[in-house]
Amino acid sequence: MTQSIATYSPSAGAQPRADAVPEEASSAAERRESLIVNGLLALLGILFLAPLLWIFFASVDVNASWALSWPRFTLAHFREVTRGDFLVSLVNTLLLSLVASAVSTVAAILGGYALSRRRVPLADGLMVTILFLTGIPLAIMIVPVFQVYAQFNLLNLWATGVFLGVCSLPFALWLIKTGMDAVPKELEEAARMEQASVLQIILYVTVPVALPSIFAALIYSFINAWGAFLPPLVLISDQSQITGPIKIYGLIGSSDVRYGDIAAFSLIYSLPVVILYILMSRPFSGGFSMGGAVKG
Amino acid sequence: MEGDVAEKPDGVAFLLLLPTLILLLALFVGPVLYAFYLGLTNIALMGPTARHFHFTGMFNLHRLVRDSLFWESLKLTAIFVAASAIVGVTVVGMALAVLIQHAVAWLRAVVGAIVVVAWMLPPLTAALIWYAFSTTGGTLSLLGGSQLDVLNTFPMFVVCLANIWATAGFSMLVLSAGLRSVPTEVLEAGRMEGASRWRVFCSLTLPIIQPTIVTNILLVTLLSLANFSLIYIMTGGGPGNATNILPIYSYQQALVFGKLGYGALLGDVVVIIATIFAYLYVRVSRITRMAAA
Amino acid sequence: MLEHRRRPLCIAALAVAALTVAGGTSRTAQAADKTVISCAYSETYVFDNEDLTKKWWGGIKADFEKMHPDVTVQLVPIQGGYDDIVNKLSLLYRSPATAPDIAQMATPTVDRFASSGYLLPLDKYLAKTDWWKKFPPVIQAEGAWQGKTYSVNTGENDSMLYYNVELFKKAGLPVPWKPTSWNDILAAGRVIKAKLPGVVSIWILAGTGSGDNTVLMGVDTMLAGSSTPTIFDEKTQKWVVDSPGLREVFSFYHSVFSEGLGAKLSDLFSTSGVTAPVFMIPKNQIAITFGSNFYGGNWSKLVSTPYWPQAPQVAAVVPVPTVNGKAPNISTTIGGWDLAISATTKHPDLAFELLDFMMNKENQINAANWAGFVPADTDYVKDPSFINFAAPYNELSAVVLPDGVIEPPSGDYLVWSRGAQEATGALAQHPNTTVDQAIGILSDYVKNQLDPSQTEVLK
Repeated sequence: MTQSIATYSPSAGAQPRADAVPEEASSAAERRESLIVNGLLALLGILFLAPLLWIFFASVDVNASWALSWPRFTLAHFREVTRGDFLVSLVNTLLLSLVASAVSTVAAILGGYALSRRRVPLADGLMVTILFLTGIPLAIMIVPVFQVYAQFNLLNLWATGVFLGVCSLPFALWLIKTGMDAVPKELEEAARMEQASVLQIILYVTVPVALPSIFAALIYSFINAWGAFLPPLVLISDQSQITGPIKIYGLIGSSDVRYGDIAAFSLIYSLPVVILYILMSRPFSGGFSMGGAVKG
Repeated sequence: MEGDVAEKPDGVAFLLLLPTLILLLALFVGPVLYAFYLGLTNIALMGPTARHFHFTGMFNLHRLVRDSLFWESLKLTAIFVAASAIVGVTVVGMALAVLIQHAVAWLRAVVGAIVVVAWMLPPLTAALIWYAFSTTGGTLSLLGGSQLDVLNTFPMFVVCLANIWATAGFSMLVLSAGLRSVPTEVLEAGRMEGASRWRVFCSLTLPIIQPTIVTNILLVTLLSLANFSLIYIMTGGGPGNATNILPIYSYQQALVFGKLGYGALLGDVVVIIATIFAYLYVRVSRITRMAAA
Repeated sequence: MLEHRRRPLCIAALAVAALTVAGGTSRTAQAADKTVISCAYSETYVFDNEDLTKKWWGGIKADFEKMHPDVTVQLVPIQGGYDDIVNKLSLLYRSPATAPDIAQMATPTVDRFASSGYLLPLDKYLAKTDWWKKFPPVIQAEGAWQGKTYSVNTGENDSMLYYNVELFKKAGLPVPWKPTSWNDILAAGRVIKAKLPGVVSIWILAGTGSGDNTVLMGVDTMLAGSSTPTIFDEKTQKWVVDSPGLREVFSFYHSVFSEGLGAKLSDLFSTSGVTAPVFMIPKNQIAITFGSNFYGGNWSKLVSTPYWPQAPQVAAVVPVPTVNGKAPNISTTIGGWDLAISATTKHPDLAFELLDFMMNKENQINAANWAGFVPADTDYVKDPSFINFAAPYNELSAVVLPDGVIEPPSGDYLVWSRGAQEATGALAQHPNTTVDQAIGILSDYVKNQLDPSQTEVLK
């Protein structure tokens, strides 16, 4: 776990080790303080872990229910939810999330660069507008979007992925624009001297340096689409294209509620997100600096 | 903008922004504007006005002001956002960010992972986990040593906790990034002068990362305002109307009662509230900037 | 310096490629020379489980395609619960491109779909079938709107009272039990509560967790046997928010919950409240249940959710009595699932031929047994393959069916229903809620959502 979120990435600035400073401070007080800090954090960690107990227990319990009980061990639930159409739904979720994150990240890199480096009329107004778009409930857009999609025969996985990408775009744009603001301009000047085109500058100069924020945007879009529930429920009409959350929702709404299967499938469905976290935690953590994102 | 390379509006910027603009206009702004129009019509999910609906002027607005459930829902939304987003997520997120900065490596790795994974989990999974956690026989009632139905007894409290649980990781990431940007020398100087850790934090760290805190509050507020899945799966807005926040009430009117027009209007209210928050944010950050200058 | 770092470009190229592919694959064409008939139906909500859904609809598709080699039956399963199915269908109907040729829809929603102009009148086809005339009038009427018939019922659910023979014997109550009034039910419940404190004496659904099902199996069922069964007054076109019948029903609820005879809130308020008794009754956790006809089928070997071979000996079943035992002393609602044809279908004759095929005896009895229905056809309900599938439950479900009351077809019924859900929820959660307060909750809710002028008080 050396790549944890808490290991400071060099790109995020100097390591503040304020706690190591006054060496003359009594070591007893230091130790007491460190005990309190670690104790409090451990307590918070336990509190955050507690709700997760159920999903682990129920997924391997013959008599699973909503209640927490020591499981009578079985792997039947996992066998049940790794059959054909459950796996298909996960592959669909993956495709949906890839389309969504590609759409939002590519658009946001280009747009973010323009907003960060170029003179854009009404840029501040645009940023604020984009900002509040983050707070719009999807439920109110779903009917208009459905009507448009139905008109153009777009009620499928791919078009839904594009819609979900657009839903994440405001925040992705914002993250990437902020990340690019921090990239020193001298780098670009050098490239400009060598007659590089704007696109080349973006791809080979700005993007590599702003990578943490781009990763953050990518992951944000990915997990947003991965967790999306209402849009795929409404916008995907082909049975062979339904996604993981819809499958879980079907299990809950079924006349025969199979708690163990719900828990087991939720675990499997959540796993990629955890893997993503482990793989990406380092670039991810640096990408969330968003100090003065909007200029007054 | 201080960082401009090109001094005047240029076509390149426009071209670069084009994909974003097209996508946002077609699939985001367009539907939202259409929803504002639908909010003033009698469109229904089914029935004679399903396809042949028309503009009804102020009718829905009149209904809105007289709808006691709307005002109740507005109040619940304020409580949910204030308690979970503004207080809960910010305080818990800050506590985590500060503690993690000073804790031993393995502990911050483990706790950081748990908290961030809780945030990254799909909303549906988080809702199921919290339903099981707080229902009769769930972990919470076992901790209390009883068969108390915590969820139905304290519904708003529990959904706020669930929202804090599911969002604190995000807040922690943002605030950690802010804390890292505080120059070490400033803190060292503070400590040299014999100030306590708490005093250094309050009088030096907090003011420096204030913009980050404000940004974080705004984002978490917006995310919570639009939150639908968590409460929908956990309580469906109930019991009764105890957790019937605006996104849920909007969904209920539009897709349960089939009153798409009125449901859209309720959604519009959320959009307007979000706009107000964003505007306030700009004002606050402008004031902060001027104070700093 | 621009030579290294080629990867980002590849990613961008991949993204573009992915989008291009996306555009391409979405237009996979059906084989051009085949006629396609699409059928939309619930994937997990109507049949007892997903496998049975696949078996029934898959069978229809295979058989019909064998009979018509030039036809493709396209299956469009809809995920989620009752509301999700209604929503998805009404969205699909908005565009002729997505409107399914045949759709399975809940009976109370037929009027709303018909009045939207989405459905094809079936009268001229129905006149030529031999099964339509065998439907009871109350069921024929369910698919009618403004004098025309738009849908055909494929099975009904109705309400019955289950009681646990073992628990009754343990508590010293007589079996067989023949309650003739609501007070008989309360009296038995009180004995159970005194003798067997760990058991739920009377299961009756309350609250908003299970939506309208709570009302269908609770308030509406009892109201049907009260002194004033009216919910929507046809004469005045107003919703009844206070009546002697409603007060009788709410005071029954008040007795159940204020005396601690009811179930736990977490069970009643959960989204699976409708099916919870199916699992609790075999565990001897409930003595008396206001239940639905489908329980028996669930306990059969085929459905097995859960399999309970001792069911006929332990779980006895009687009609829900009326408030004071007025003949025929049956209170029940009916509500089921219908099939309808889209008004915009390009192949109305073929679509009806497929519908007609679904209505044959084998398919209807399979549907009834696999979904826990009572078939609409008065011959099929007498067939041994139906009666013996879940004896004695299926037989009684057919007996009470003709006395069933259907819910008002107006969409605003769901507002009234929500008010009733909140009223019973308050009675269940706060046992000191009075009948007056419960009436107030229902009345305030309907007045606020609709308009005070659309409500009335029956004396």
